[in-house]
Amino acid sequence: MITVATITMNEENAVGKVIADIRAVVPDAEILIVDSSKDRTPEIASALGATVVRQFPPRGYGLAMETALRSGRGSVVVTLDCDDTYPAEAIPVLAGMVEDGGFDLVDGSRLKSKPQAMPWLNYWANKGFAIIASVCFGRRLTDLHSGMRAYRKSMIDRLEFDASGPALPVELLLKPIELGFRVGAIFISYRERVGTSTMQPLASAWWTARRIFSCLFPR
Amino acid sequence: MLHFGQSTHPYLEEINPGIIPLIGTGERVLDVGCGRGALGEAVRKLGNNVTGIERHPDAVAGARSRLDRVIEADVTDFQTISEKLEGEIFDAIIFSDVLEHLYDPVEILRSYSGLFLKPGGRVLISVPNIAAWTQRLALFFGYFEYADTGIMDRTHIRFFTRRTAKSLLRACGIEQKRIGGTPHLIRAFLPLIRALLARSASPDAAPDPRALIDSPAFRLYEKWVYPIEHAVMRIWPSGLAFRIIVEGVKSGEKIESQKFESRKIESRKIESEMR
Repeated sequence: MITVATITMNEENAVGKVIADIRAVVPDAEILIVDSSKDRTPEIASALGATVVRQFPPRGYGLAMETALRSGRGSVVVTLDCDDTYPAEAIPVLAGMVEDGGFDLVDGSRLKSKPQAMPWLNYWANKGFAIIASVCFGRRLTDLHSGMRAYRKSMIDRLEFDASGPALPVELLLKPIELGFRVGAIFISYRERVGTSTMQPLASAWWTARRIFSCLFPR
Repeated sequence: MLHFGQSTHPYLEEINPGIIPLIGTGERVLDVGCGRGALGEAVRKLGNNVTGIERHPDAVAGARSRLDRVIEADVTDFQTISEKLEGEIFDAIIFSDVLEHLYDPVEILRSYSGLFLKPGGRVLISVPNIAAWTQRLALFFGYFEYADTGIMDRTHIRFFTRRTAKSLLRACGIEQKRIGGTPHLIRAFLPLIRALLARSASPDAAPDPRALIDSPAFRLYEKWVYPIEHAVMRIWPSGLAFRIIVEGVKSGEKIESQKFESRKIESRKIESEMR
């Protein structure tokens, strides 16, 4: 079974469409939503048959993502942000590469070229960090921050990570590489988001650098 | 392929490459905290008579087959060591990766120098460099975490920079003759390399402490890469060294003059503070 996990905070305008998109491509999948909303997001998601785990008051993206990854019941957990920026049609491709392709993690990279929906500053910051990580880890990495990935659940169960700060996807990608898990990537499209971004660029950049360092020099 | 056995790193033998070039021949050498005797054996092969001091019974058993003599005692147990040595003094005393484990390294060094080192004898000290570039970066990112091995080994209770390593000798009245180091360039990535190799190793295989130093890859590294690394380290030794290596000489006259100098510096400091 596949779990499609997403975390939400005030996404009432996007959640219905995202769940419908997921259902259309993987009808049998468990849809798991870790929600920290004040609006009607959890009610809408429950009504549409998703499993909702409430995390309120909000404890941050990282801890919500950890709950999502740890709570999924499927043998493969596919994550995507619930702002309709990621293509649901890529879910079976990513999950298939884990289920049948022997990968432990498959990254849905947004950065084949600059996505129209991504500001230039974010694009170059993402690109820059990806180049640094590629040099440090001796392999081509194109997107450290993608929210759309497929994880083998048994790998997640063995993975220890620091979920307490921003930029958790960086560690979720680099730590499996450090530990020798089989990590692959495909390019995906990235659409304009519905709703407002809560990302803090400076904090994200700092934590990205910190997480690259901690994976490069494990203690 | 190197074989490290387990992902939790057991004791791995390593011959301290910073100490070997300082070793003479035909000397009586005391190796304090000799472990299983890997370094002492290399010192002995250079034509020296080596006595080791070691506390752990397992390590003592290993060292006995490699060194001329091993005293099973805590390195701070001067009564037992003095009784066993029966007044013997040495041409050189090695403290290779030992002082950082001790609560009062100054007192230990001073005592060994006073009790077991002949006048004009040498102390060879190796301590990890807490100011290595990786540690500077780690602290910058807010990390100060102990590890299984390396500079932040969880058994380290004292930390040294190049400057404090020099002042350690000064405080013991030992004249510093040379200061150097071992490079921290490829070595910095050892935990990552180990993690990758440990995963490829069979989980059932028994850990081999000599796996690293006996591997062909390590010998190639030692022969071709280490000298380049060492040359690069000399550009910025306080940041690019993994270990700080100091050679000191026990010399009565120099001690007195150094004491006088250090007293002068102290009094100047006090004067400036009063102003």
